This record gives sequence, structure tokens and C-alpha cells, in this order.
Amino acid sequence: MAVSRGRVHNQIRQLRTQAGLTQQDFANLVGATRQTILAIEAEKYAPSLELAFRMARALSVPFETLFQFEEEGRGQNRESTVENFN
Amino acid sequence: MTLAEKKAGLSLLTGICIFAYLTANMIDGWSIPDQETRHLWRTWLFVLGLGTLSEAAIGVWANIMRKRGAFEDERDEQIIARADRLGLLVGFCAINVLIWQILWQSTLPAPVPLTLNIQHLPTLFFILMSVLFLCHGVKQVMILVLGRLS
Repeated sequence: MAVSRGRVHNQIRQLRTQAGLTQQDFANLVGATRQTILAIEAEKYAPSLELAFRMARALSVPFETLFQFEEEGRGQNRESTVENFN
Repeated sequence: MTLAEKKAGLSLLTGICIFAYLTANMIDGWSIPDQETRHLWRTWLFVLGLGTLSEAAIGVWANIMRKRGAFEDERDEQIIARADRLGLLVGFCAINVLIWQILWQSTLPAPVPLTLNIQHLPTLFFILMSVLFLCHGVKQVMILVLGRLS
């Protein structure tokens, strides 16, 4: 079964500013550098699962609220999965 | 700038200084003259000592910075690993170019343009040392570049 490519989006910038935290404050809270927070917010760097959970915990939101996975060509992939089962 | 980038910048600067010392010791104008083996030993040991000392000094400085709150996180570690791989790749290519030069020179009887005289010991010594500095330099430059870009 072919696995389609995807992209992880995040709502860190919005939720962080809502919480009144600067990038440096947030970086200190989760144990990362300010540059890492900047790169994650710009979606240039995908954090490890551990850091992602720490971020969700620091912002007191569920993991799924903070990160969303968008699959490319999802409909096509579903069709091929159904064909494989048949 | 992260601690990893500052360390890379310092390491690159000291590397350039040590390479400048090596070049000044080995090159006369645009050629590498004959040199005594004793001179090569002395240069190698001095370059090795300078490199070890400078890296140790950078390590001590980094530890002081860590005590003041600076640190390297997972993104820094990932960047360093990528830079390491690129440095190794450059070294691999450079060594293969050297092998190609050796084979080329042993295959063709007359000296061919664009070949290094690697049968000349000081030249071979300088080239091998340059490859080491090249790998180190590429790694540090890549840490700086990837730190800015990714």
C-alpha cells in the first residue's frame, strides 16, 4: 500500500500569543531554544513527540488542538485502500 | 544565535587560523618546496596541539555558557548530525579525488595538467591536512547555514 505524503500544521503561534507568552518564555517552559520555537512556528522544523507533548502541556491544550496532520491526496489513498481490501 | 552556532563560529575561526599557520609553514609562493621530514613532524604535532587546545578551550567556554543557562536542544543536535554527515561526505569525495590522482599518475607516464604531485611527500602531507581542515570547515559552515535556514 502506497503511503501518501503529508504535512504537520500547528497552532502554536496563536495559542502562545493567546496565553500571553513570548517565544523566549515558551522556550524556557518547554526546554527548547527560542530559535527552535521560531522554526516550529514557521513549520520549518517538526518537533520530536516528546517536545510536542511538552508544548501541548505547557499551553494546557490537547495534542490534536496544537498539531494537525494534513495528508496530500487523501481521497485517492482511501480508494486504493478499499481496492486492496476487495 | 544558539550555543551550537556560536561554538561552530568559534571553531571555524580557530580552524582558519590554524590552517593559515599550516599554509604559511608549508607553502612558498604558489608551490610547496622540499622540506625535511623533521619539519613535517614538527608542523604536524604543532597543528595537532593547536587544534586540540583550541577545541578544548571552546569546550570549556561552552560549559561556562551552559552553567549560565545556554543549552543545545533537539534541533541543534539534528543540525549537528546533518552537518557531520555533510562533512563526512566532503571528506569521502576529497579522498576519492586523491585516489583518482594517484591512479591517474600511475597510469599516465608524463605529468598531466590538473594533477597534484602527490609523490612529493610535503605536497601529500599538505593535501591530507587540507582535507582534514576542509571536512572540519564544511561541518562548521553547515551548522551555521542550517541553523539559519531550518
